[in-house]
Amino acid sequence: MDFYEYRLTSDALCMGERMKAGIFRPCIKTIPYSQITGALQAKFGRDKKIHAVGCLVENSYLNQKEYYIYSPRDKVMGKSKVPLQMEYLTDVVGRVFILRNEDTHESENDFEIYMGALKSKGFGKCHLVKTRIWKEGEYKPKKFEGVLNVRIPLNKIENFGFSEKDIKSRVYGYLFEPPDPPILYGGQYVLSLFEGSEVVCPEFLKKE
Amino acid sequence: MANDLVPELHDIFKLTKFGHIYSEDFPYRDLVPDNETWEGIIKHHCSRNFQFFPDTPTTFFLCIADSLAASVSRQSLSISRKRIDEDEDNGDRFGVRKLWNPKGEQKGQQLKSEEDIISLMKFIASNPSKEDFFKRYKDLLRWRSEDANPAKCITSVFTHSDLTGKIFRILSSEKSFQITKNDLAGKQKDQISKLINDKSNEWKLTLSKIRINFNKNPMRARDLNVFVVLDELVEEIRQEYYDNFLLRSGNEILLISSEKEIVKQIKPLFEKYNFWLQVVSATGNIQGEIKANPKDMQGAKASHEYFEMKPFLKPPICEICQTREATKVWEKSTQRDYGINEMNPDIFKKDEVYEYLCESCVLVRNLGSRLPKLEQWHETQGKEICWIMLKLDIDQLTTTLDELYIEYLQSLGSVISTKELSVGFSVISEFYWDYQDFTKDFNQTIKNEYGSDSFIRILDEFLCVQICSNSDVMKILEMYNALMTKHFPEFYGTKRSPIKLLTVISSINFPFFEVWRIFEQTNPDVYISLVGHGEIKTNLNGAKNMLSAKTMNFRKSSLHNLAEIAKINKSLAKLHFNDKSDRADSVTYSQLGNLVGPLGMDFGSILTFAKILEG
Repeated sequence: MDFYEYRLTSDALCMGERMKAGIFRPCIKTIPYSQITGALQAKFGRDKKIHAVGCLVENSYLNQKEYYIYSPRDKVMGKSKVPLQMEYLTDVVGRVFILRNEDTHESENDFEIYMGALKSKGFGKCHLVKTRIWKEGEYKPKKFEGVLNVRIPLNKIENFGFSEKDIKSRVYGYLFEPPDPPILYGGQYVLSLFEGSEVVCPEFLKKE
Repeated sequence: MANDLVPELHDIFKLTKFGHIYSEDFPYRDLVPDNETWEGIIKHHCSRNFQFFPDTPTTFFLCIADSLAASVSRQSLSISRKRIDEDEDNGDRFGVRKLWNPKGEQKGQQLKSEEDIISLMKFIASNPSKEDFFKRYKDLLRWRSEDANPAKCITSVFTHSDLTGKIFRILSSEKSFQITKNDLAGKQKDQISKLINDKSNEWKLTLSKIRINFNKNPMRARDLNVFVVLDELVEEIRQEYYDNFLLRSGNEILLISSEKEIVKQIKPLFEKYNFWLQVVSATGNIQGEIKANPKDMQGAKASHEYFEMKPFLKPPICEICQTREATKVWEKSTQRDYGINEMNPDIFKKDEVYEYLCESCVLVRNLGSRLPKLEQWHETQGKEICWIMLKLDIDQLTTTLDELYIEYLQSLGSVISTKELSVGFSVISEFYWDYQDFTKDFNQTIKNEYGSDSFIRILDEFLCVQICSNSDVMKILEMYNALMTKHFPEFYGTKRSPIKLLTVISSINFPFFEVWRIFEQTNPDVYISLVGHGEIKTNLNGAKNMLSAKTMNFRKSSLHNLAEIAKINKSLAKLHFNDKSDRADSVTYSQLGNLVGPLGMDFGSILTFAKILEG
């Protein structure tokens, strides 16, 4: 099981959490499986078996939080809806790990995707550059555990080189899973392992 | 013989000039009561210094509890028992040396007069409860050290008595710790001593550090009820498991129990509100394996105890906790909720804000407005609020107290390292009394400064005040610094402080769950965040220097220039900060840099500090 590592950069990225109180939408500080896998499938095809996950680089000058006030206009009624305050990140630099399989083994070295919210307002354009290949022998989990730095659905962890028995303590949450095969509406939330869980897993998935 | 043994009284004679050793020539023998508590007082030791020894199951349990509740393992510390050469009348030699505040005020005097001793004997004869005992002698108990020898005088009789009582009841109420009259009958002192040793090796206790977490993202003032619920649940545990409850810091508690089951016992209490527990627990024998922090014990295990988590949830998901299916719709304008199935296009209002919530989150929201001032403040224009949190880091506390203890031992001429010795959990409990005093003082000081209309206590360690400007944070820092210097001066000399001050200044409309996220993820000794304008991360000494810097006359226009440039680009502001060509500005910047730079504050923190100084 090999992985491609990409360096992700973006000027402004709005990976929104679910909306709060009807007026505020915070931004998550990691790149969950659902977000990056969805964005890659949008680029390369919904039928592709892509498994990817990512995280943001920790640096006080990067990934700065900013706010954007957005007031959707109701053209039929001729008035604006309640303004929405959205959190987004600027100068985004992250790392993305893609499982190498028959659908991804010839992946490009350098490409662009669109990810997150407010794409029509210019947010979400991401540039990915391949930086290395993690061969199985290089990342094989060491015996000691570490703190997970990514969000992965529990039913997908085996695609990332570890299993249930390797989870020492769990931080749970839910990620959205689109319907399979893809249709316009639907989907469900799937139980997932969040950052902060203690696991024996490939070292690139752990917090540095 | 009357009444049950009250273990808390076992060391009552330490308050008198007779000290710990009761002998045949005790002058008040005719006042000796005939009760089990007296038996406990004279028979809770089993060594050659003592005439009497444990000969019943209760005194046997008391002897073991007394040993475990000692500040330092009595076996591990072999420093000579020499007394400090001081005047007999100077009561100080019996006072507690608090590792965090060795020069703190100590008032106390042994009971010496005949009247006092007779009164004490009559008190014991009256079969008092532990509450009577603590009420009557509290001040003396908190002054007198459990062991007056230098090196061991680091906890009070009060803390020691309280812990001994708790451990005694845990041991004597559990079937797994069994000792019968027959086991002790006819045995000599050395045989009992061996039995105590054997049982101490055999009997095990579990120490559990439990962090109570919630997935809730409180959005509206009413959602902050989650803290009220948390407070009530912890109080329920404190009452129901009084003997197991050692301390609490915010949403963290430390419990001691005979078995691991205690986590399973308390878990259902939290499930109703979707709290989940982060547990670190370790089991060790009574003979020296129990440490102050389970993390430092052999075989420590971390686990997360969750309520039932379904593998899949159907949308919509609860907007607050995001771990349950939303079954209710909450309508903002009417502040009422109804079932999601009742939501149909006929009642859907275009300009309405609807929130999809689960039963548990609606339950918390509907507890009513427990923090009404916060709702009123939403109406006040132009004012900001400051969220203040005190955090006690238990892991850091044990490390720091170990360091301070080693320093103290070294000052007495002992050559010992942290690897060889660690403080017992009685020292942590001793610290906790002072920490509670500190938090009370802090609450009161802040309340006095801002007035009760502008002050909200959410938890003892979590406050909220309405402020006029960002520079108010310096006032808060000043009060904190004054109280830390009063209660914990020694922490200024340690690498990191176990007590943290976290403050976030924001507008009232800034979502609270973002503030909470900052509090959860931040851990410097002192943290100040001005939402949208930067943050300061520093240590206690850095905070002290910031307060000194505040009194200096910095050129306001230079600070203003820096803040304005930073709005465009922080890197540019950094260049300007280091640029020597503009003499007027550079003098101000080098003054500022020299004062706070060497303490490890990065440029971002210096910039935020400049914004506070600018006003």
